[in-house]
Amino acid sequence: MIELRNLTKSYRTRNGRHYVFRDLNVTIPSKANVALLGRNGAGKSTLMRILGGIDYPDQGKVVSDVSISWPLALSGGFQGSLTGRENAKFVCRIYGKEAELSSKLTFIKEFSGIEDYFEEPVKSYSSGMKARVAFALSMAFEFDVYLVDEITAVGDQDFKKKSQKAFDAMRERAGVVMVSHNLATLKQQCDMAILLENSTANVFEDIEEGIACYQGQLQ
Amino acid sequence: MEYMASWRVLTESVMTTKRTSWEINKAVIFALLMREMRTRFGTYRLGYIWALLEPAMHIAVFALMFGYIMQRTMPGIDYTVFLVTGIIPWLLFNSILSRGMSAVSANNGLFGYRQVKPMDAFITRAILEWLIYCSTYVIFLCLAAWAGLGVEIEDPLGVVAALFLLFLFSCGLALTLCVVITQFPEIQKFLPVVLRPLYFMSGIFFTLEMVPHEYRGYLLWNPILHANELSRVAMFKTFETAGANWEYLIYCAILTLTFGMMLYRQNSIKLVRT
Repeated sequence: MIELRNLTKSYRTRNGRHYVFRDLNVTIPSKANVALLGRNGAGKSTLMRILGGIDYPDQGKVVSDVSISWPLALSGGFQGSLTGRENAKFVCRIYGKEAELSSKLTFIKEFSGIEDYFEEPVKSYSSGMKARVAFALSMAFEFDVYLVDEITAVGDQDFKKKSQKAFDAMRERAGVVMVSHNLATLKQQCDMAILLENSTANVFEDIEEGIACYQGQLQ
Repeated sequence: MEYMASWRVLTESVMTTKRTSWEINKAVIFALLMREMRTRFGTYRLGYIWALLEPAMHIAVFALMFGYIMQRTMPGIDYTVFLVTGIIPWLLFNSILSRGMSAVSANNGLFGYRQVKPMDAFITRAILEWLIYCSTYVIFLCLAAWAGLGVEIEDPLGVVAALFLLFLFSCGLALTLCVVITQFPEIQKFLPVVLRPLYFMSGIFFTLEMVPHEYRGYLLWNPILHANELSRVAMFKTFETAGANWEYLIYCAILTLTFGMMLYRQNSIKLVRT
């Protein structure tokens, strides 16, 4: 379970303080597949970053008893001059997996399916290859909740199929908090929704309802 | 299908035990260190040799320019060894400043992993520079001894202490700048302008004693000069300093380090931009 308690986050702008959230109170049940909805600038990414522990609220706190992944984005903090293997090694190391390094790396190399490119600098990768490695990397670790920022459905047909399968298996075992502009994907993969608007959040137990409300807001 | 099977086995053992903050910190700094080493040396064809070539070039220039005269004014002290004890500390200071200052901006992408904090990136770079220049120092002394230049270290602990205090002072300054440049990036442009004259005022190729009395007071504001003089007192039997003292260097180190950490603590959230 992840509990957001009285979360307030603001940024200073030229026209005074802009509040992204004001006293946000939301509880995300364990193993829930949650869609984060909201217009551009409604605070979806900010909330993801706070959940991921890389940004901090001004007030309030996040209380959780589960392990939360890093926000899985397309290019995922790779350094261009280092090889795919070296970048993957880094992540394994910061998660304290020094002992399982070789098995993890083998898995990531196999899963990403980029073969010998794994030993080449990341800057020589195409965006699809980068996304494949990023996805494979996130699949190599077990978290209780995954933060997913538009990462599913990357690569070619073959990889899509493979990653969808892994993703489905993961959703059964763990929770997901997802941001996507593809509403069809969200409808298919999530069962509840959090709609961010006007510095607050509305929680919908039913994803369809949440999306309907969000679409109503757009018109 | 075999992916799925191996995936199950792989992930079963993961995330079962909670690590302490110290364990996480160690793991992160080690991971960053491995990474920094690849990027610091991997790009140059000469690799690790470069860390030796740079001070060697500085030493060669000064040894050629002043070697003959200096040898006479400092009996019992070999001028090449004297240069080693000045230039390498300077390079340590200089590279901690420039590498430490950019530690956060250069690693910005990595702060997306919650374990990695800006301070880790900074500490990693400081450790790496310390290791590089300490080994360079030792290698140069060995080379000098091998060449028969007469290397006798009077008080090895004193040398280490002086270098370490200089290291702490550099870290404090670099940490301060590292935070300040996020607000005022212009400072990066002014820094070389300030550092260049400092190079000639830090007692790298001369001793304080050679400076006329009336100017010594001004030069003694510079903690790098203190570090250089003190390390030479510890190094050479016949060397005497004309005013450098440990207290000043210690105060400078503590003061800058405290100030830098204070600034960091206040601004650590603002340092991360993703």
